[in-house]
Amino acid sequence: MRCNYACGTAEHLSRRTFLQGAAGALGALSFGGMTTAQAAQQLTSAQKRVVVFWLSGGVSQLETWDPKPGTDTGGPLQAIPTSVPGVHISELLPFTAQQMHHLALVRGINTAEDDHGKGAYIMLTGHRPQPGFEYPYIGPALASHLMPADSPLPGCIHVADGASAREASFLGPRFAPVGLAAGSPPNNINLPGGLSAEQDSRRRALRSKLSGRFAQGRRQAETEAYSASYDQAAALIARKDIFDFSSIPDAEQERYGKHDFGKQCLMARKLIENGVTFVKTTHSNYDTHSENFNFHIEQLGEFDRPFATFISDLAERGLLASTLVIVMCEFGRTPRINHLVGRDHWGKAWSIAVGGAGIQGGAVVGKTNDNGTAVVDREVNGGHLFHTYYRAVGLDPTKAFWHEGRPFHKADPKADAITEILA
Amino acid sequence: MNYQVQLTVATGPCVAARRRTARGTALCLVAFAATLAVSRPLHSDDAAAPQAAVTQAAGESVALKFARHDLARWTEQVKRLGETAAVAAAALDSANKGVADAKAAQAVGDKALADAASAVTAAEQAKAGAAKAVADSLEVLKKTAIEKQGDQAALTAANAGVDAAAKVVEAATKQLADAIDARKQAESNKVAIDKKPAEVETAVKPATEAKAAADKALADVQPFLTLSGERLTAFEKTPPLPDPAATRLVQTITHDRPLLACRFDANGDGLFAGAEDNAFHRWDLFTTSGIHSQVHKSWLGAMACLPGPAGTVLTGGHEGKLTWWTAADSALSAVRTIDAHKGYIRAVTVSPDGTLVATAGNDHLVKVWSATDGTLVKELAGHTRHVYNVAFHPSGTALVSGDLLGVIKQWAVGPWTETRELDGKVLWKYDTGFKADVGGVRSFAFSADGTHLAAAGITDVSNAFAGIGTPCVVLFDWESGKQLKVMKPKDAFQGSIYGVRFSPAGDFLVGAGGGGAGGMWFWKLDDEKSFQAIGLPSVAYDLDLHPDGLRLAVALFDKTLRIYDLSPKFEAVQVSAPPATK
Repeated sequence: MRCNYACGTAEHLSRRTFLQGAAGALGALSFGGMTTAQAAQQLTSAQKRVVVFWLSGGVSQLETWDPKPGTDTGGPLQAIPTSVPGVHISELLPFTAQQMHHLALVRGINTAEDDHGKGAYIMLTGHRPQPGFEYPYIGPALASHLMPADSPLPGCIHVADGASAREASFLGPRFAPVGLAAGSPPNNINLPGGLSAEQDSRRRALRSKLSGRFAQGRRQAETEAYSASYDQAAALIARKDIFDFSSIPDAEQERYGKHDFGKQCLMARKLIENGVTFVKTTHSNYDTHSENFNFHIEQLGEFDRPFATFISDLAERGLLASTLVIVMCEFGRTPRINHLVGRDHWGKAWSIAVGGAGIQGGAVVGKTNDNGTAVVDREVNGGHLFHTYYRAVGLDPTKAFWHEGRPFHKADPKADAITEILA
Repeated sequence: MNYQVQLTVATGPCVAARRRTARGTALCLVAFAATLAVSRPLHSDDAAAPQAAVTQAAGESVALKFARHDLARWTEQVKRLGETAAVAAAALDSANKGVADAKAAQAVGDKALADAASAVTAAEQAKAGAAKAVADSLEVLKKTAIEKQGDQAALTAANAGVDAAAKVVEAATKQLADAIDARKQAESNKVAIDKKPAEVETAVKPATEAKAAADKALADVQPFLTLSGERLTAFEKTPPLPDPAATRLVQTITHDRPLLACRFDANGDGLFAGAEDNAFHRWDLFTTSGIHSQVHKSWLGAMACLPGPAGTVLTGGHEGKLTWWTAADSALSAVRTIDAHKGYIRAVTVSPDGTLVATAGNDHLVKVWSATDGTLVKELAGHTRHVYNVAFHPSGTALVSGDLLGVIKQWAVGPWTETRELDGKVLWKYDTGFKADVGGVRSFAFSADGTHLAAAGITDVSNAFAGIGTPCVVLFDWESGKQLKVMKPKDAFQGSIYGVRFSPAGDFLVGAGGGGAGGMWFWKLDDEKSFQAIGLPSVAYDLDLHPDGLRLAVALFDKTLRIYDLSPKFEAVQVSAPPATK
């Protein structure tokens, strides 16, 4: 029986892969296949992790990484110095400014896409949308390489709403993101009420016995995956303490803020500390067609401190050097300030911040003109960014995924890495 | 920067003003004037003096006073522009005379050159005649020498003839050289003379344009003189009351950035403004000239005038600085700047007696300052979100502040204790889709008698980040603190109200704002739906009432300040004058 995931050949499907695939899906009946080469790559890059801070709706580059105070497009807010001499960012990010030596800025992004969905696809896959086909998103794509082979944990976790199995595309549900909506642990991680551990153990033994009898004479991928999913779910349940965020000391929560995003950042740190390969947090919302400045004051006022605390904590714990951190969204916002004192969608000249593993902290690459309406130096797009991400975590972006006998570029071959920000 | 002022003027026969009978009661002139006199300090962000500096006869209404003042200013302006036009006309005459003189000189030069050329010809002819005489005399000498050999006397005479002819040739040659030199001089003079008309003609075009501009400026302003005369006559016949149905645009000031705030000065001579350019602006409404000063480092959206004629204005910038200004005809001088708030100053207001200034900011604080020396009197904490507005009660005993969440707090002036909260939450919504709070108290106004408080903003928000909601004014009974009405436009409209004012008599409310389009709406205090709506070319970010109580100014996104007249219509024909450029 063939499974329609990357590679997909039966000879490449080891029992361990079955187990991992089943665990990744948390009980789903499908699994992800991996080549031996991929599995080897996992082992060599097992220490690398990735965290994406997704500023949903499209944060304004002018109110974050590329301020233009005093111009007709600059708005009312000022720029402030950072821990990197000569580098200024918006006054709305005073805590982040003190962590700028850990971060690099890419100020010359032109994705030429002003649609939310398409912009998000470009930024999360590195490719422009194609009808009828989806590349793996950044989480599954990088987790497929970086996730330790023996990890009992999902490789890809979203600590907010929005996790979708389709993000794994042909990599399969083995790498599909698990969502921890509102900071809750994965569904059904606790035993049902009234069921003791001893009863659960006996129940699983019975299920295993019956499954084994069923598999006799008809052993194939699905049956192994089915069985393995239960085994791996049990392994995950054994580590459910990872998802017990209630045990985090109150003072620790205060440092991050007790709002949802503060909790997300703290959860992200805890997941990274416990070996989860890819974590995505989402801060919503920045789609400020109206009252851009009021909403950015509110939203970035919430984002700044927990994000900066996250960076600082990872650095203090020695984890930042092995953790790639990306702050991005689907596009930037128009330099022109509209009649509602808002900014609209703008993919032509905007910025992101990256830091941690493989990144040269304090670097700034790319430049926009005086009022931010066009990139005037080192223009890059989603392809360049994905080359950079892969290189930053020690992977070769020029290699391809193989799916149904066809190669699919991990990063756009027409682009290359932004070496100016690589360490 | 480029600034333009456009005046829209109505001319024609005076029509008797209509007396409004709002709520069934015709307001008498005295009551109107008295009410208006205390209405100015009651608006949020603005506690301008009730007493303007304009000379006022005892018992004369404020409206009449300002009508008289307007007439004087327009008379003065017409006189000034008339003088300017006369100077321009004289300059043009001078330029034209210069051209005529140059052309006359050119004719003289032409004649001189022709005379010189004739002299050369005559000299050439004389020289040729002399040369022939020499030849003839030589022939005579030759014949004499052959035919009269030995006749020494004849030979001597022939030689003398030759010598005489040679002298004539020498003289003719010199005369010719002199004539040629004279002709060269005349030609040289002609070149210079020929250039002159073209040179002086260059002065004619600008002089012509200057005269045309001066004539046009004069012509543009003269109708206003006529109008102000008719206005005064009409007001003298019938005390005017503001009539929303009569609302018409009378003046437009064009800037190069969206305008955020506006306040009339106490004299009604000028309009102060803040814009998306960090500068503080003042435009003279009669001369149309503007003065501009950069002190703030961010947008200027909060403004209030101190009572009295001194022209002291306070501005609050989005960078958190509060500045005291004095405004003279030619300059805006920053007297004092203090760090008032961390983050935006959202609103500034002045106590009715002019001694206190209150500010509201993004640091969740309300602060009270001494108006005279800028020292901090009290810091009022209690709001949990950005404080959007602040206003003194007309009695001077209470201060209200309203925040993003629609929480309205009342503070006792003096003890500075929080005395109660009013519920303005209808002006707020937490948008679960966008995970953000939207709304807030965008404007406050007290009625002149202090019985009502209006808080304005947006309600029924369906999409926070697209600004989709309904403009709204919440009317409170001040004594009980209860919400009386939630007022909305009669017709469907999406947007917010950013400025609200009570009529001087307190019989209606006006709010200005907008969303995709701009608008002004008028409500009677007993109704929840507006009875009058005026479309604006774009969203209005602020609104102010002229000290005469009859005119409104709005600050618009489309980079204009527009002034509307609510006085009863007395003009028959309305014409629009093209803009005058500063």
